[in-house]
Amino acid sequence: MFNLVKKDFLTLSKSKSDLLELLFMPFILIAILGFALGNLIMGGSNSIDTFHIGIVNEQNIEEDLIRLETDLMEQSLPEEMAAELLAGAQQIDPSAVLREVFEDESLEEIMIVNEFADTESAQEAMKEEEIAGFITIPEAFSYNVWRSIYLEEDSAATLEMTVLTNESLSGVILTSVVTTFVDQYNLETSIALATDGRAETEANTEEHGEIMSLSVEEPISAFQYYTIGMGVMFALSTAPALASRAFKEKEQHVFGRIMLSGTKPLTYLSSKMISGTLVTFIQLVILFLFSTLIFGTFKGRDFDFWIDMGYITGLYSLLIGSITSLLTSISLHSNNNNTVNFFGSFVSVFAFLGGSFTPVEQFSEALKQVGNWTPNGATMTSYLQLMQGFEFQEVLPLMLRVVGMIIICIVVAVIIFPKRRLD
Amino acid sequence: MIEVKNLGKNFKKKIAVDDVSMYLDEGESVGLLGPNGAGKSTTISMISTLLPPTKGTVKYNGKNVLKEPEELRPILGVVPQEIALYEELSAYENMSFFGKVYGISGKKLEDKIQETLDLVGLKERQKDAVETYSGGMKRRINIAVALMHDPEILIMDEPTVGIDPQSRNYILEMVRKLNRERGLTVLYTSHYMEEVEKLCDRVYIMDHGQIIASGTKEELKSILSNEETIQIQVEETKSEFRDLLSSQEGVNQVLEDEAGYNLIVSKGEQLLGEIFDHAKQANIKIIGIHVKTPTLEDVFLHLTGRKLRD
Repeated sequence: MFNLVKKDFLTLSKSKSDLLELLFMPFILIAILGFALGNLIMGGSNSIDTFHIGIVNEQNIEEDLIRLETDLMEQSLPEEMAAELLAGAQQIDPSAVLREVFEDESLEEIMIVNEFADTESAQEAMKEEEIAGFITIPEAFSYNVWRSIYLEEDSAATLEMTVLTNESLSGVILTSVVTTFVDQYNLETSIALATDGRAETEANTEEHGEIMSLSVEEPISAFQYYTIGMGVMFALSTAPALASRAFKEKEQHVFGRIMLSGTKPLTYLSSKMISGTLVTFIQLVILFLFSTLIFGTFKGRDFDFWIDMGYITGLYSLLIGSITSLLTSISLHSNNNNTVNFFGSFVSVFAFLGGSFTPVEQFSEALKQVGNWTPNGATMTSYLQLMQGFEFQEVLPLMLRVVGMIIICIVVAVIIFPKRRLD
Repeated sequence: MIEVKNLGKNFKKKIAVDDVSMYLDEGESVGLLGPNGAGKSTTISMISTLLPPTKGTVKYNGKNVLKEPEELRPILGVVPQEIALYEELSAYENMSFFGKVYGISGKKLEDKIQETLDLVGLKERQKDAVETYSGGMKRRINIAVALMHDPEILIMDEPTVGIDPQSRNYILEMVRKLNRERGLTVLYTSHYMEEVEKLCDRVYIMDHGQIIASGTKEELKSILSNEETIQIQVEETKSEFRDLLSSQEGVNQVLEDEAGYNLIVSKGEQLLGEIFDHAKQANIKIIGIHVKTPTLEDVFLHLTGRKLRD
């Protein structure tokens, strides 16, 4: 048995076209689909290059504070209260808060802030595409904001934002950050005024701003999706590739030679199943490993995740092994390779239904249900659910489906395999 | 040793082999001679238990091997007409694989591989992929694989088809050596009369799925003991000349080929003068004439009216 399996590996290793199809092609497709169709995948994210933005500060905070102090005195407020308001104003200086937003650690990897002395130099830098856009903090910006807060005047404070192009990703991000800042600042100051500054505004906003998690689902990146999609699809094509070799063995009378040696037909059939299983397992392990190394697909996943991935990969490999043995049986029994060829050409249909190219639930939920009854579809959904944080027990029903398919394939393969001679 | 009785095989409505009976004694070399499509390969596939017959029995030392193939298979070495090898693998890898399939391992396997490679003259090329070999070398390694487990009976199906004369002679010498020196029983099928004549003690002649004659070479040739063959080489064949030869008294059969005519005539007939007269009458230029004793080819011609390679 080991000798037969070893021979299958040896002959496969000498076939450049098969190796290309089973190992190289999935990588190429993962790269192409991952980059090209990344935005179509739920929760997908493309990597963003770091970009530069500019800040032009035209205001003088000391002057603004003096002007505010003068205004407060003119309001005939008690001296203590005026001093308190002045101290509070310094704490909620909008220009300082804006700077804090841009210097936040989470934005550090995305954007780098450059200071400019005036609008002209910022414009020049943007023209040279050194920066994606810039924000101008105009003269008396903080003063105007304070007046609208403390003296309840209509705000004359305006932040000016200039971006290279609104459609660019960097432009969208910059607009989003500034909008978030304005919203957050308005919320904080409103709460502070309503509670006379007693509320812990920062904590409150965090609570308000938190996105509630309604399920355990984590987003799947395009590379994760296509690593699984291409992996299960190309693994499925392993079965007809190996079964074709079995038929060639019969055509070239090699199978007859093996049978003459006293090798039991079922030993031969089992060797095909073991070869199919091992080839698929190795193929998927290589694919996952290299995809993680090159595209960072499963980077940072814990040991338990890999164990569960191992279970699914093992079962799927066994399924491909059993399909290999079934196709081998059919081709040897029917004395032609038509079934194997048909299955081979049907792999892409299975791949589509199973969601290898795109999530089919986008088209119809019924299609998704059908897809989950295909060998690759059931396995792919299991992988994706596992990656979204589901427990293995939760994907067990789909895995039981795979076990059912394995049993059916093996039983049919054994029943139809030529028992003693070649008829 | 092996006894075949009333063996028959039908493929749907077509009768491929019909009522074939034959036997093989230990140590002898037996030829199965017949043209392409005569049913030779189907017959040996049934004898080697790879194809179930429609009717008949194959017995090895009295046991029906169709029911108990495991009795015969271990002592059988089969060389199929096709190159039954993994051509992408080297000769060494093929021999190692088939040796292990027969349960040979370790030093015994290594020794057997080298000994067999030596026998077929491919020791130097053992690490090269079979697909890089010439046709003759592929045929030799095809035989070598069948010898890996030291079989007692070697069944060879047209082992020299499509190869150069040098490789062909090498294979014929090798088979003769295996039979004479190692006592290997050989069943050799071919449509090359001269191969069977050179190698085999006894011959079965097959045509249209049936054995039409059998015996030692001498016994078969004695069918034509009262006849001899006159080969006439001509510049150009003409139907008029053929008709004149056919109507000539003493000429039993006329066969035309690309080189000229073969006449089977009654022994002792003096017909050369008449042949030249007919040639002159038909305006034919004779470039050669040869009177020879009968060959197996002539026997086949006599029995079927066709040449072996028709």
